[in-house]
Amino acid sequence: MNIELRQIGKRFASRQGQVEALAEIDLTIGDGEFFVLLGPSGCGKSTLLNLLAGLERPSSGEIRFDGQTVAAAGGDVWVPPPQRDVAMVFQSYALYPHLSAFENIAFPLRVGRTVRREIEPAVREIARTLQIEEHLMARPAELSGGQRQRVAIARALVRKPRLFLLDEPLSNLDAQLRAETRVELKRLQRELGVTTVYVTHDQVEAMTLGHRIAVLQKGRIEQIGDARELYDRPANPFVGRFIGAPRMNLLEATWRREGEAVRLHLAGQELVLAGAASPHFGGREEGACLAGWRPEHLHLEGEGKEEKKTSLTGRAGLSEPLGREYLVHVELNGAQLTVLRAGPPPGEGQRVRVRPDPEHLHVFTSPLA
Amino acid sequence: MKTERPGSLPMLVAAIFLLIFCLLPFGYMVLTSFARRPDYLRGNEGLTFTLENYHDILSAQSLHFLDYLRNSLVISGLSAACAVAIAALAAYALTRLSIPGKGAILFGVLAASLFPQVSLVSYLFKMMNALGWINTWPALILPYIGWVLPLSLWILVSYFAQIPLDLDRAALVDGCSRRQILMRVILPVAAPGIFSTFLLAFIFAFNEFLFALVLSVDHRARTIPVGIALFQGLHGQIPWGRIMAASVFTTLPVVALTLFFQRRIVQGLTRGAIKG
Repeated sequence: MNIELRQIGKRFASRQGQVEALAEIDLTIGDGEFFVLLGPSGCGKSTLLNLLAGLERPSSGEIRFDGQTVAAAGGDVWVPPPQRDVAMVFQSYALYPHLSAFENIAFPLRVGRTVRREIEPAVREIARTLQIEEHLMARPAELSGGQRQRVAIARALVRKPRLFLLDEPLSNLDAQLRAETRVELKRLQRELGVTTVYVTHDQVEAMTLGHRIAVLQKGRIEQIGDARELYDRPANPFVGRFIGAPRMNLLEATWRREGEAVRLHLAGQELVLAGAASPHFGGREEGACLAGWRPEHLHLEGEGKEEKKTSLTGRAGLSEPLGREYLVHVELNGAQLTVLRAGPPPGEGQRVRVRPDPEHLHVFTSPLA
Repeated sequence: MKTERPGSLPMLVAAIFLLIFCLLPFGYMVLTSFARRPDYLRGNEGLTFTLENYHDILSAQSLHFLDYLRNSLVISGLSAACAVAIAALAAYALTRLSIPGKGAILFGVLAASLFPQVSLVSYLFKMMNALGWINTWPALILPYIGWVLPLSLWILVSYFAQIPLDLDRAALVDGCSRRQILMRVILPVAAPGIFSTFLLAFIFAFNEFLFALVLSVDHRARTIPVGIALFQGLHGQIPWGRIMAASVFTTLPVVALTLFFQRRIVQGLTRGAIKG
């Protein structure tokens, strides 16, 4: 199913007055797409999901399913949740505690007046897909977290909804189970081909699952794109910092062109970047910016004579072993950098040189949000 | 760290003292009900065991004990059922819908229940008299509903508030109407709470004395507390044995129900609805 959100806004009345949860949301989600809403807590991503489910009404704008308006501000059009054919998995799973797993899964079918003899095969089939057949007679209280979560997913998918919504479904699972379930969800969504909107605050989940990701902050969409685009070409410092772990280094800098090269002043030092960095600075001759490098695009070099100013001098701080490599903290005249290093880390307090890749520089002219 | 054991000596002594303090009157009641003479503690006769008192109250037509028991069960049962039904709907609305002044409504209900019964009873008598309902079941059922409703509402609101809102939302997305959410999800999930509320309401109505005294005249509507109190005075002598036997007999169903309902409550309310 194709979903269009046009200029969606949502305001809540609270004790502090009106709170704007969402503003000017424009989105189109394609049929069969796995779409992820990503952002920190309080960014409005769950509100957006509730708007799609019909659990909240928009304060402004319009929502269309396959071209048909299901919600328009001002109460002109309102399709309540039971008529939207939308299924949802809640963060708390929200299983009905008085019903067995079987009856939980069968619940939407029974409410939807499915013919009785079709219910059992449908439940068995989805239970087989999710490998919870042997737990169908158990009450939710007798199931483990992972099993409850599968029951919740089965309940959502059993009636083959047009739209599948998931609100942080993995956040209550332990790390290993989360990784396994993530893969399974991706496979399941691909098999069923159901349009899916997935809410998470975990950028790894977002990148691994989503065809496309919308990064939200303070009720607004910061950027929409696939995982590669968000990682390689973040539109602003917020997306740059939010996507990718360990996080991107950002330093305030001023710059000036010098022929092919760009001369960058940051943290009290001067850095001359080769021509590869030049396109990042646009058409202007000089200016101020936030310069960003991901930790894997910074390289540590031993101290030595350096004439061409292609690296920055700092002092090595703590280093954290990440398994495959080390995350080395470097202090740079008060600024902090993190550098990924494959080899053994320099000793603490040792003077080091940090050489950035000129082509992997991110230049943000907007202030750090 | 050493955990505090409930078996420590001072704790044990205190518990035993408390038990004796609470149960002594009941013990005295039970003993007296089985005694041939109620003044067995005085003089030199001592306690002689008999079932005569029980035989009397159950078989003597003039005492109307079984009529009182029937009246009490029907009146308390219907009152409690109606009150809990109304309170359940009200509690659902109060916990689920955005109603302005929720707190004010709840406190208003509480305030209404704080009126002393005595201040209501004379007007209630006039009203029931005008309706011609004196000495009928409805004359007691209606006031009892109003009387136990605040209690029922408060208990049920706290029960319903514990049921996660996500269950409502899940049911809504699963295709339920508001009425279906209530019937298929909220009421079954709250069943232990509703049941215990019903029991409390029942016990409250069962033990009520003042309204029953004023609004009933004879065995056609008189309830047990009033009936037992009026056992006395037939021959200018107080029949303690029968009073105690009747008291014991009427305590039994309440005790049995309470034991049963305790087990139900322990089951917990929303175990497994959410994580953890």
